[in-house]
Amino acid sequence: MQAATTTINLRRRGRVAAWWRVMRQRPSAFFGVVVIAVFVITAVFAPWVAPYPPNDRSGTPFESPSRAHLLGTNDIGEDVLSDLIYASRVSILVGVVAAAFITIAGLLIGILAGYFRGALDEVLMRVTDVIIALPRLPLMLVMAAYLGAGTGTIIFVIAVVGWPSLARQVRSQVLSVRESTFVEAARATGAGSGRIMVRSILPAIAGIVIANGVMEIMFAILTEAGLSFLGLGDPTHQSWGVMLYFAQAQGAFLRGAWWWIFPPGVCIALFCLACNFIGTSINDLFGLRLGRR
Amino acid sequence: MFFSALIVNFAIPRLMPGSPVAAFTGGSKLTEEARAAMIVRFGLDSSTWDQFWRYISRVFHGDFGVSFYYFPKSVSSVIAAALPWTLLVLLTSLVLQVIIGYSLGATSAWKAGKKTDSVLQTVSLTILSAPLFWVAMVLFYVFSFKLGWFPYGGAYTPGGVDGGWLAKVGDIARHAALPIISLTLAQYATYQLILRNTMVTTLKKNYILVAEAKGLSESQIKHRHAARNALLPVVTFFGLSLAVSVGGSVYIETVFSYPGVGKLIFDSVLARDYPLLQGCFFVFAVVVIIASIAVDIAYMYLDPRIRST
Amino acid sequence: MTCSGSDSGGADMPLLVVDTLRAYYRTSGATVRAVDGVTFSVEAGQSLGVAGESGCGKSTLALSLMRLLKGGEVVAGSINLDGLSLLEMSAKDFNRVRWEKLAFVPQAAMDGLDPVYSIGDQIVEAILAHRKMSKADAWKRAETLLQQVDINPARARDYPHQLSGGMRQRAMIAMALALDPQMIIADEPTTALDVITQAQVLKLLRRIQRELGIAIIFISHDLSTLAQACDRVMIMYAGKVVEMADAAALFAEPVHPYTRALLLSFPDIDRKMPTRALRGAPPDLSQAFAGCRFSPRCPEATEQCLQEEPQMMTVSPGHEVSCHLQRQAP
Repeated sequence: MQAATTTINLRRRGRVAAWWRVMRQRPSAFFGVVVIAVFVITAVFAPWVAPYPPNDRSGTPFESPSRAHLLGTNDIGEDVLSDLIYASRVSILVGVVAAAFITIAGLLIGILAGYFRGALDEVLMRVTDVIIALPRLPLMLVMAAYLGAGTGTIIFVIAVVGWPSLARQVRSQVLSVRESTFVEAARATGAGSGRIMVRSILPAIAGIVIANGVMEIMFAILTEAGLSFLGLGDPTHQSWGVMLYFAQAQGAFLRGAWWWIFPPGVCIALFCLACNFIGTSINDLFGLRLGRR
Repeated sequence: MFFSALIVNFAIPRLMPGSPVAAFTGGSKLTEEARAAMIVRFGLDSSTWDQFWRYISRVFHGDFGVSFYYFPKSVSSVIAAALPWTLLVLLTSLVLQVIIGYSLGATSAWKAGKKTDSVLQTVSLTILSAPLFWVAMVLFYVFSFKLGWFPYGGAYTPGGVDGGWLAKVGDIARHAALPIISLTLAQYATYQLILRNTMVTTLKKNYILVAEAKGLSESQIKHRHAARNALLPVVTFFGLSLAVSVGGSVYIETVFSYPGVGKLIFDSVLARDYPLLQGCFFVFAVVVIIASIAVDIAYMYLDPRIRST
Repeated sequence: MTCSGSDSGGADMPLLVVDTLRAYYRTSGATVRAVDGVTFSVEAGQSLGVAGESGCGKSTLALSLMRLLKGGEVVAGSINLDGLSLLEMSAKDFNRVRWEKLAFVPQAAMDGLDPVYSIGDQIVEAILAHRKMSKADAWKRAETLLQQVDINPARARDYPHQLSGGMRQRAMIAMALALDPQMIIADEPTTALDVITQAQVLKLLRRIQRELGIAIIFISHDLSTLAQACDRVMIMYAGKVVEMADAAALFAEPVHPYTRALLLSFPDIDRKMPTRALRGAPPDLSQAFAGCRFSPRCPEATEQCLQEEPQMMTVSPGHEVSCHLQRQAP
């Protein structure tokens, strides 16, 4: 037990040091981390950072950017910049929560299918394949139509559409680990082979989860934005996507209110670009460490 | 695959909370008789199995029921009117995506490691990170609203355009231009990036060395040998990409008020027009399935090793 | 049978003259001197074997001759093929020399032939890149070539994966013959083939050389292969030539300590002597070294060997060595 914990700690420290090395070599990864950090910090400290409290009609509608309102105002006179900052909380939170659900569901099903095999595996994989084969957005829309608009619906719908591909990857990892260690363990100890399986599965899965995790957050945020834009979001808790929904619906185009149209999209794009950069770096890092490729 | 789409389509409304009848009436109160009548009308009184068989047979007759919103038009007729526009945008965009993605990807791989490569990759990655509908909005704002180069919406100018056949085509093209451009922008980069990465590996192979030793021209080596071998993963991706494009058309048609199936799906979600919604979903699923089959066929054609097995 | 030989100058003029060739790989840290002052010549219709350990520079040499060096460049020296200075030609002109005068056969691994085109198509491609003729004529020529290498011409429509390893290599040789080149560079053409197939390919190369008068540069780490297939053999070490002689002379009377060690490390049925492995490892080519490159491992090394680089000298007619311990022939 003691030995196990120390090896894990060493590995973690090694990983952090390796990360730092990668960061220095790849400016894009560094950029990614910085951008995400900025977003997260502003989101957390929103009440201190934002110039105006949420839902405060501090200005006249559709004001263009000025000293008082750096990004102008929206259709009911709220400061766009403040809205943007508070919206980041919702967007990021939904993204992370949805990604978490995807990860949990994907892990669970992937492990169950890969470990126990047999009929359970067949059934789970059938379901997985069906969902993967269907077009994602239309499927999400159909489900959302029945469930009604709202943040909960969005999270649920993203999770349902997202877990299959993770489950597939997890399952194949479990299968390959199974082949390699199970036989040895069975020969060596008979009993306790289950524990050895668990010990070897976890590091293998950790790799996939971390590599996929960032990209799943990105997928969740993009999808949430899209669904909110279509009107399925929560109007009382604006996310970046909801802001764009209102912009479209309340005539930002007609008024030429580019300050309302551009910033939310830029935020989403920046955040996702950062995720992309970090994601590729993580993939490289893991490729190096595990000696793959 | 086909059947799974059918089954899902059937299952979802029954799995989701709320009865279909309530959905139809929008929750307003009905008398007991009216309710009973509705239940009979929708066949909800018979067993689930019966309902399922009836559903399947109706689908095979192309009968998706009647739209709520466009009552009394049938779902099939509504979709049939919208489908050609979606296909126009989707297919044109697909062709453009592949062409642009291919040429940029091949160039990027050929000049791998140099400045051209990094610039191409970064630019494309940035475009890829931005949400599709937002890109569409930006394009709409700049080109339709500010510059007025393209119309505000619709597939063609209502009331027609004078000038005969060519003018009509031009009119349709003007209306379809921004949707096509947006969809292309959204997806071309994936082809570029995948081709580039695969091709970089291919370029290291011995047969490329031999091709150079044979004195072939640069374009011959780049396209006939390197890219051709690198195409296989790209083709595999094509099927997936089509599914994403199909989803993307929902956003695009909404932003540009383009009367395709995408907009139809969006409208039907808002209007809670369930029959129409499910009809659209089904059509999308079929499109994706056809694409997968096409991909499999293309794969066989491209890789002689698969052909002979 | 067609006989293509050099048509310039008299019989005295060698087909290929390489003079003090240097090819380096420059990385951000160091410069690797992969080929460092190599001089040799090949007569028309002659086969020269190039042997040495991995990393001795033989592949770099081959790529430099074809101007296919990637990641490195030729920094000095000259290459003269049939009177043409290969390094000074423009890329466009050299592209015409490629395959017409100088062809290339890569290692006998899977990759030399493009898997998505038939072997006939690839041979036709080589022909049509240099000659104007109809596709049908080119195809006929391709079938003839396949016949010359003992492949059934009907198989021209086959894809590389449908052929055995030996057949693929023979198809590559057929492709190399497409334009009647004056010289073929074969880089490890029989490595990774089984012994029987190896013998087939070697016999084929010998036949090509004799019947068609094509010079062959044969690169291999396997001395026994070179012994069978080549007229002359050149031993390379650490980017330099250490010994060069007629094959028979080299194997009967090896002079350079490295050559002797190499030969001892091969089992010999007749000699019944135990094999002796060479101690140490090849030197780091990014570090400059003043003396003989082999001296750190040489059992007979002297002070002079470690300080001063030896020059090539003739110890007997046709037999050259680069070693301080030898006496120049009068």
